[in-house]
Amino acid sequence: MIQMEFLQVNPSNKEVILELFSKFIDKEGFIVEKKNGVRVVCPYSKEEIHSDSFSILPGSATFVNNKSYCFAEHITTHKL
Amino acid sequence: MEDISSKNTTKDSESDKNKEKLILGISVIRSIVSKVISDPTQIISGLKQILYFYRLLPAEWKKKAFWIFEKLWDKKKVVISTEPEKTKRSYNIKFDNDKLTKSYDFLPQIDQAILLQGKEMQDLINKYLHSDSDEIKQEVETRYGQRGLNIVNILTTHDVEYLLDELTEPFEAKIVESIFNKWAHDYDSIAILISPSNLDKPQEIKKRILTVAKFTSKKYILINLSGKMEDCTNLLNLIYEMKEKKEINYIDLKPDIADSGFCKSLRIKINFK
Repeated sequence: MIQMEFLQVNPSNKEVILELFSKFIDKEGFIVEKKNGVRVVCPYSKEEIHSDSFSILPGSATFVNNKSYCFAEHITTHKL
Repeated sequence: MEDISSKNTTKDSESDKNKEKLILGISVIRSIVSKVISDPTQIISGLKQILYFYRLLPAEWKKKAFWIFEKLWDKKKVVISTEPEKTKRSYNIKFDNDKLTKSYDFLPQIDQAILLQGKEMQDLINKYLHSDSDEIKQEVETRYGQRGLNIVNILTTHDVEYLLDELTEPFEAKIVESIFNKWAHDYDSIAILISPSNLDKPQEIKKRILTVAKFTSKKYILINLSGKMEDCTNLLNLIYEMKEKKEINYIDLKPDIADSGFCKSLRIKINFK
C-alpha cells in the first residue's frame, strides 16, 4: 500500500485548486468543467459534485463525492 | 519635463520591484520542487506553497506554476479533500488478520471494496464512532444489497474467522473466491444479528434462531448481539431456556463476550450434530 499524503481543501485554496484542475464553481456551488461548462459527475456515485464536499483522488485526478464506497472502489480499481 | 521623467523613473522602479517579487515567487516554487524530488515527504508543503503563490502570479508564470503542480500531482501520492480525515480512514485501512490480508488479493475488486468498508466500520466502532459506522452500513446496503451487508457483517462481527478456517494455504484463487462467495451469499442464513431493542420480544428472537437452525448450510449457527452486559446475559439465558424446554437441540454452545466500542459484543456459536 502506498503511503498517501492528505491536503485539506479550505475556502482560501479551493478556487485555486479547482483552477489547477480546469474546473470552476457554478452559482449553485457545483463543480463544473471549464472546457464545456458541464457539471462534474462522480464516477462511482454518478452524482454531481458539490464544492462543499468533494475529494480529488490520485490516479487520473478523479473528482468524487465524499462517500466511503467512492474511496474504497477507487482504491481497489486503481490497486493503490 | 523633469516631472515626467521623475514619474517614469518611479514607475520603472515599482515595475522592477513587482518583477522581483514574481521572480522570487517562482524561484521559491522551483526550489520546493527540487526539494520534493529529493525528499518526497515534502510533497504536501510543495503543493501548499504553489497554492499560496499561484494567485499572485501573472498568466505566463501561472503556466510554469501549473507545470510544477502537475509534476507533483503526477507522483500519485496526494489526496486532496474537503474532508481529509474521512479519506485518510479509507486509505489507511489494514486488516489485522494475516490470512484475511492474503485472501483479499484473490477477490474481485468489488468484494475488496466492500471488505475495505467493513474494516473501516470496524475501525470506527473501535473508536466509539458507532453512528459513523452505521452510516457506512446503510450506504453498503443501498449500493450492494444483502450480499454487501453480509460481507460487512461477517467482518464487523468477527465471524470472518469461521470463513478463514475453511481456507487452507497455499491459497488458490478459485477456491478462495468460491468459499468467499458462498459465505457472502449464505451468511444471513447461517447467522443472526440481534439488536438489544428486540430483546423484549423473546418469541420473535426464538423464531429467528429456529429459522436459521433449520436452514443453515453449516453444522452450526452464529448469533451476534452488541449491547450492554445485561443484554448479553439475557440473550444467553433465553437460548439456555430454549434448550431446557427442548425447543432447540444443540450439542454445545460457545459464547464469547468482548468489548466493542462503547458496548459489549456477544458472539455465540451453537453447534449441532
